[in-house]
Amino acid sequence: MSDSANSLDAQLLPLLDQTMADYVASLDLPWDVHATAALAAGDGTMVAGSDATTAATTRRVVASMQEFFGTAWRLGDAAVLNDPDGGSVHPTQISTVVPIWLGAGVDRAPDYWAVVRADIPDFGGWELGGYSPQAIDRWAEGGRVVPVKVRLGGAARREATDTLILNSRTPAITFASVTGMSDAATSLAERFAGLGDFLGSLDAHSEQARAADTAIIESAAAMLAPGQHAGRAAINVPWDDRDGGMVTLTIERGAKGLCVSFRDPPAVDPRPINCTAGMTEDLVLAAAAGAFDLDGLHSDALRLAIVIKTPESSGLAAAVPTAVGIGRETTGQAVFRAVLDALASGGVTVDADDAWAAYCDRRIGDILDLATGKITTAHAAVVVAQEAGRTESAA
Amino acid sequence: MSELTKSGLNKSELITAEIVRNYVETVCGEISRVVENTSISPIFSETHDYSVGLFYADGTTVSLLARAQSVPTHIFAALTSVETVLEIYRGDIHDGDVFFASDPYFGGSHIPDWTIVYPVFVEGEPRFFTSVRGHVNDVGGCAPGGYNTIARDIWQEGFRVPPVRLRERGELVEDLWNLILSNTRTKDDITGDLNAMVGGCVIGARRMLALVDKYGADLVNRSVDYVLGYAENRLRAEIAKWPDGTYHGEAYLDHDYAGGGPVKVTTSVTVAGSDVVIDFAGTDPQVRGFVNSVATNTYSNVYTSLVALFPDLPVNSGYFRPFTIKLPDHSVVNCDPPAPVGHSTVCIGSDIAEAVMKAFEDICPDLVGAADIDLCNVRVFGTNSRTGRFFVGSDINATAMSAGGAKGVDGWGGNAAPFCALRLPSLEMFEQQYPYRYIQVEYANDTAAPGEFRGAPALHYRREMLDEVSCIVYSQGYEHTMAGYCGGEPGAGNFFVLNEGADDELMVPDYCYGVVVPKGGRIFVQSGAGGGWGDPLNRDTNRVLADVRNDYISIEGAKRDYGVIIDAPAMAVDDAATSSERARLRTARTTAQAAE
Repeated sequence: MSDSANSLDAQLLPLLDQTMADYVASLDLPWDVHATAALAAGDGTMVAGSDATTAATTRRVVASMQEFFGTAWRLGDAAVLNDPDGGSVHPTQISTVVPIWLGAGVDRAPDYWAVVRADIPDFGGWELGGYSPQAIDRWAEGGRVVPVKVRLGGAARREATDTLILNSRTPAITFASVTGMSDAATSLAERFAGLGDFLGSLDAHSEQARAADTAIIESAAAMLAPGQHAGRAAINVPWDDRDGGMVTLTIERGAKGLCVSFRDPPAVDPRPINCTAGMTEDLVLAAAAGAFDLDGLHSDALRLAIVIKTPESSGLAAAVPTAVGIGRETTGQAVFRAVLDALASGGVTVDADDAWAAYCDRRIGDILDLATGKITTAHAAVVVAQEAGRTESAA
Repeated sequence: MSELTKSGLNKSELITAEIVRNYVETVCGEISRVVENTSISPIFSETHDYSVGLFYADGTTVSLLARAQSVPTHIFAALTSVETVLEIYRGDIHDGDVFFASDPYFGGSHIPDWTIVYPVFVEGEPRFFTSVRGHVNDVGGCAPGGYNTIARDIWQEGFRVPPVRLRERGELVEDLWNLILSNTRTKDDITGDLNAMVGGCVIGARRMLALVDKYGADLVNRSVDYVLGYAENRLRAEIAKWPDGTYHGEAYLDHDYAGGGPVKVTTSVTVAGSDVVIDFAGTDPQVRGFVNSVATNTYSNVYTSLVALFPDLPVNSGYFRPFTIKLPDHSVVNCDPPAPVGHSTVCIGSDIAEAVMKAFEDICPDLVGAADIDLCNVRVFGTNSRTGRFFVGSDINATAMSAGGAKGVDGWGGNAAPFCALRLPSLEMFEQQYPYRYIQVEYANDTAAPGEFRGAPALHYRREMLDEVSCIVYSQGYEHTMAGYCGGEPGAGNFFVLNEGADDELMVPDYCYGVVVPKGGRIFVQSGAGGGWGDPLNRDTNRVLADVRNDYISIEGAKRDYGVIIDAPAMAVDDAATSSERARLRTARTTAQAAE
């Protein structure tokens, strides 16, 4: 790795780590809080992220914000969304975005973005916890938060925050989460903007870091035999007797990376087991990162190195109104396993169960009981008790 | 200055005050017309399921000043919405602001009722508020159409919105606007409806400013005080004629949508001089299903009953001043969050109105009449093959809620008093917009509740689905049908039949969720009949004959229910036989009562 890359990592990774640590500490919850933090360029390209496998959805989040708000940003603004079409991978995942300008003046599109993403315990829908196996569409899974600002010029925006917490069965935790994420993203933006001279050569540092990551990816991908490799995995829907279908794909090693193509993709399912295109991308990247031991990357290189051809109008690229609330754990898991299956046929073998367990451990936890399609009763009890305690304290 | 009257206005000012009173009612009518003509969804443009009010803020309290002919439970509840907006935004309200409220626990009644509140500034203060409250066709949530029959908390009912500002000094607050509308399944249509609501309020505000320009703020304010006081004084004069004492009324829902029921609402009405206390002590605790009522909704339904007593008096907050309403905590008429409330605007709302009306049966029998409607309806959702689009369809023709009788008048038409401004929409329009084909919508023979003044008959409704749909049926009043008054009989009840005539035909007397009706499948509804008023044996025999001729009742029914003998070939009343039969029935009734 070059000195520049080392410099970028040395400068930015501590900021990201501090951001996540501050956020988690601010909540003081008795379960693992899975948060990611990222700094993205003006176009949403991840400059540095705590989890490079989220580069695709992070980019979608920023794009959604830009599409809605255009240039209507002020210093101190913070906006959120949970809309899976906008880059969220689950109805309870909140993405918070804060604009960053370097140098004087803010009368232009933001130069960079600070992005913090984490799950909240509940955002309405049929069931506590955001997993609703009986949901027939997106609205039945909970409130649909399209881009909305929770801070304006540094001031909390009661109307937006009240709307969010009113739609949660855990308003106290949700308030703390939304506030904490906004604080964390704002601090990240301020720390980043305060890096001084380093920012003058950020583009160069960033290019070199991406090049270094690309070299690592290419080296890892070289383990894969040349040619096309097919993989498949069943979509497991334990709580329902009906067949979930199959994910079938091929992975081809090219000159500079991999190309993932899906064949006979699962149709849009009436059950909430579909994935958005962003979710599918996330799962492909996560599987590849796990197989090639690339979890240490922090740039956008992984997203750029893997071309993912997501079939439109399928259960792998579902859009509103299709329900997707358990898509990550069902169809998404099948995508993850199909990628591993294809890589295995190309000579890169990892234990799929272990890899999936590691994915869940890092990003979801063991809160979902797939046998019911709902969060576990044990986790539900902890959440309810935690919320009650906070409400009582506040009272 | 000319001599002042008791009202504090001089004689010419009194004339101005009357002009103001009529003017503000006309303004409400104009707002209503704007909404009707510019909204998109049939539930607005065809069914008229929205209401308009004009409110007055004197610096300490908010008063309903006038309303358009409307759904009373909407606009009385909107008073709380305006109060809530004022409480939250006091000191931060600006010319051009548009406020929105819908959450039941923050000034609303059930989530689909959206309220727009628009301040009208006079001499720098928000003195008036124009408001439209409308029932939108979908609010997200678990069940398309906003009626989740199996909801156990409010988060399963729809997207909750606290009071928010949708325009600030005339500028659209785009993200909140988009957030609210993105949480509906029919965003395009409801965007049009919301714009219509805002547009109506803006037009109304202009008219109010023109009024102030013409007469001056001081005289308009004093005229408003007069208008409110006039309604109060007129009503107090009437109440003073009532015998002091405490009177009781009860009403029941069949079920609570969660395996419980019946659900009891009980009232004690105490009259003392010109004051009345209405106490709901003894009403059932809140229940698991979605019939719980927030206090605002309960007040609104009480007011709905009260204004029906004196239809000639102006309806404004002055009318309500003589009444004190007491609600037990944690009860089905004053529930706590997060209890589901989706059906409460009507069920239990109209039962609240009925319990109050029943108490008045012994106070002013000549003034009472059906207040209950026991809503039954079916929401269907699916994909319309003609458009390829998802749709949520209702049709209030399936919810006719026929009116009851009152002294001097038979139950009329298809809508009971609490929903008197609703319109039975054009079937052709529904066939155009939804995959429906109508087979039957008509009064059913021998279902009209007997009385000296009978209720309107039940309605039979049959339609074929041209695409597969999922059905949500929500219905009450199969067992506890619409009450009769002063000796009148109760009406026929509500029930549904899904997939009528098919192997999987399903009789639904209460509710269901997500039952599939395939393409070509039929839905049948009996939408219940209003109760009668007065002893049916006192009914004018010529009215009975007319009902037979109109096929409302059969010749057998005329004899059974009214003791009227019809000579079938001549289609005439046999007076002698009728006298004899009525005497026999009275004797039998007396004997039976003695045996009891």
